[in-house]
Amino acid sequence: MKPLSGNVTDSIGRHTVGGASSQRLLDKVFLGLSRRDYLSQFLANPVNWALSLILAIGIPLLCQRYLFGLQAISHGSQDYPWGVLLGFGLFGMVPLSASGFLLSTTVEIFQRDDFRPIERLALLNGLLGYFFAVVFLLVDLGMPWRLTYPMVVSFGPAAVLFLVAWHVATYLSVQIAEMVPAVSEWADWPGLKRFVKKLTLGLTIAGIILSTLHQGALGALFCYAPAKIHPLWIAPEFQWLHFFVSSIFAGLCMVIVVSWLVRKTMAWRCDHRFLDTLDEITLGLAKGAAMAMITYLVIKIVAIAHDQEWLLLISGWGLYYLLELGLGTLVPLIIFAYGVRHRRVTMVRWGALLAVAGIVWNRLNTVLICYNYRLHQEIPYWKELWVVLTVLSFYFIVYRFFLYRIPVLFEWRD
Amino acid sequence: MKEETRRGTTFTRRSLLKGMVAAVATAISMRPSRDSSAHDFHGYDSNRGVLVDLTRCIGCRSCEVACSQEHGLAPPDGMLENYQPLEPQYRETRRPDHQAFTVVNQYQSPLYDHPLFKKTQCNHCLEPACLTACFVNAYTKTPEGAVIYNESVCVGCRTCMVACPFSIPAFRYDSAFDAQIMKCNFCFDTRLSKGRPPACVEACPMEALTFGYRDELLKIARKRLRDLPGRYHREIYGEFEAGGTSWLYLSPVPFEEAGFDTRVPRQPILHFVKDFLAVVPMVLTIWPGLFAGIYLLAKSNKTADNTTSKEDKSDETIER
Amino acid sequence: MRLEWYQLSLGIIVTICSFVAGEPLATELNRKVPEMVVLDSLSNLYEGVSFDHALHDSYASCVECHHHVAGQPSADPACSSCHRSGTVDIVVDCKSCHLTDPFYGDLLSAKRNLSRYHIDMTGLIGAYHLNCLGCHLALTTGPTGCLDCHQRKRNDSLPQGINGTHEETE
Repeated sequence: MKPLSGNVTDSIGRHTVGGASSQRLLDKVFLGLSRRDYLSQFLANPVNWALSLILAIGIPLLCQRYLFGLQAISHGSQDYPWGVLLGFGLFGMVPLSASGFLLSTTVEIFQRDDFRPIERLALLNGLLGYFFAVVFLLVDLGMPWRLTYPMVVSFGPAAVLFLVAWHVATYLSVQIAEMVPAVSEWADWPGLKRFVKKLTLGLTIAGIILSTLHQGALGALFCYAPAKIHPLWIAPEFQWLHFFVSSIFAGLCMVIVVSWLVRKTMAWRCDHRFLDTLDEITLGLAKGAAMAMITYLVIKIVAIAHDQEWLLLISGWGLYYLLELGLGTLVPLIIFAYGVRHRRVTMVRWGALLAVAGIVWNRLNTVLICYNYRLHQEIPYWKELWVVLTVLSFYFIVYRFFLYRIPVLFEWRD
Repeated sequence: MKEETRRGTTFTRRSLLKGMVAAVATAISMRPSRDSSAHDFHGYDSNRGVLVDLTRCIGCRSCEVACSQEHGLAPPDGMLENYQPLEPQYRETRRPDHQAFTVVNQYQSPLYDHPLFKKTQCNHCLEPACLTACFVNAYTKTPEGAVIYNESVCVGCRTCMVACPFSIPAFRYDSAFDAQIMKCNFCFDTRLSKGRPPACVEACPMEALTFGYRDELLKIARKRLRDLPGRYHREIYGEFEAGGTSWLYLSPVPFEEAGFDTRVPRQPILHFVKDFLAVVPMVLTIWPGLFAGIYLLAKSNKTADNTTSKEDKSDETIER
Repeated sequence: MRLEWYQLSLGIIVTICSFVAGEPLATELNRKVPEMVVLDSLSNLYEGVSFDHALHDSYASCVECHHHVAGQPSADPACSSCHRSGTVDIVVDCKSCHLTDPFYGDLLSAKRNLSRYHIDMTGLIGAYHLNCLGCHLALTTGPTGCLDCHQRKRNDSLPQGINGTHEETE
């Protein structure tokens, strides 16, 4: 994305340095630009054109889905009840959004102030990731208007999904509370900020608990299908641990990737505190991710040993499994080890991108590719993929909207 | 009956709470009552079932027709005028879906000189996976043995479809407003609760389907295995599969030859998620203290080593 | 020597007498055997089935259909351990033992509480089809198609689908 025009950069100076309290909220929404200027910078950006194209096709597809049912945009397979919408949207987005609890733990619990410049980015990444995971859910659920039923109408407390539903809902509220300081600085509500600041420790610990449980629970959901998923991808005793541990490096790598993109495309929005420490932080995050990756690889091997599945590794599926684990985890791990030692930050960032893709790949394998592996393979309908792209575009737009405005990449100066 | 149904849902809840709260579990398992402990539960005494004898089925699909009539579904297509093997398009390819709660598929085994027909429908497990996976409690196991579904609370998440080891629940993907699960309900409302056999059983001309109490059916099945030793593969499918099912099967050939999934685990599906459910109370109780402690430690360290450079601190703290 | 002769002639006399005495019994049984039987349990859907009893009598022995109740000992070892000699029961028709509605509630409960050997007795419809089709398929003679035996009722509420949906097109 091209940087914004000079006007914008000027206006940032205006509304951050100048009397923020006197500035109208609406002006802040338009970044202190006139409507005409805002529109012209909007149209000048080719990314916006690409997004418009995606939405121009995607929004009618969404309408089709809500008017004629899921079959209108997917194959509606009885054998593959969870398609890409959930495989990517829920099972992929949630681990990538573990960043919020990881960085708030690092900063608020472990008192690592050196990671503070990136804490808010990680929190925002977490909040939006979860929010859009719920949006994906709303597209995929048969009757989305009943989303609150497990909380209000009818309880199935014995079900793993009940745990996921409650924890994701609670954690979403926690994350919103954690973002309140940033938003209240921007909107100039100091009282709200002071109140929430007092809750920080409690919110952070709640975040750890809820994240541990629902990241694990997403894995445990597959324990319901012990005979349907290829044995290499399902280990009932370890599944929740696999999902939880992999979410740790997934979240950290996602922050590395997002901060990289942010620095490349909206450096104007970042302050020196963020830009100057980012390389060091990236290496620190990579070190943390590498530790989680080693743990993950070890428990993956433990699971194979526990279930005596060594022979399966030399089958076709076994090679595919090794490819996933190798490309998605082992190669990034080696990159991280080398990159951290030799301080090769760009290399680490590419490694993080690979790890992010590896996690999404792992989740898609579990949900879709290795699920019902003895039946036919489900190849998603293009409309379903396009709807995924559409929701991702919304995710991108909202993400960018917040990064441009609220003090995530910069410190608010009153 | 109503009262018993209520108790039926309590049992599963209890069995899981047991995993969650160890102390409560001990208290409950000490009680002698039969439905209080998951480990002792082997289904209701009044559990009705159906014994399917593949050596008797001729593939006439009368059961499919009777089922579609009973449930007001579209009649199955490709019905044959006279008894003969199924047309190729009806062989091995069909599963129950939102338009048909039961289907009969044809299989050819080298071990058997006749075509084999296997009827597929909900097996009405003793400890149903769909029920344990449902987060709005839309499924109920009735004392009569039926696993019934309440569409008025269903959200359409389709976890039951993932959980069902027999891949039975089907989803109405074609509907935007009634996107619900469709599955065999053992004709509970119209027949089973009134002491009548399900429609498919009544329609079967060959009595390939025998309706009765599950324990009686097991006796009948064992008697057939004993009296006609050469006729059957010497196992009863459904006796132990997924913790036992109400529908039981006898086959002349090993079950995988006739399209059965023999990798279905013997334990109820619930068994496989108990490990995780046991982790929940652990995390809930240990994490707050642990992380509050780490916080206090880190805080005091920071004030003590205020002059120490950041590199000296252990990096391990990041990874937790 | 004389004794042996006496015994032998006595044996012959007894044998002849038993034949003479047995003859009326056998003919009486034969007289009762119907030429045609109309099986009409399913008569709400189909016309009754006309079963040519005399014809089948010429192909098969009584025991093949009537188990142990028609005067001959059962050939099935599973049966003959108890039903060693054939007795002529008062009722020999299928529906006296094989029930029209084998699966109804009270009956199931009643059956459940009995400790009896015959827990696996088929219902009437099942018994007919298993017996008829079992033979016809094994011998590859005799009708095996539904409509070969069952004449469909044209006028009434024949359910859609039970060999009925294609009625017009056939």
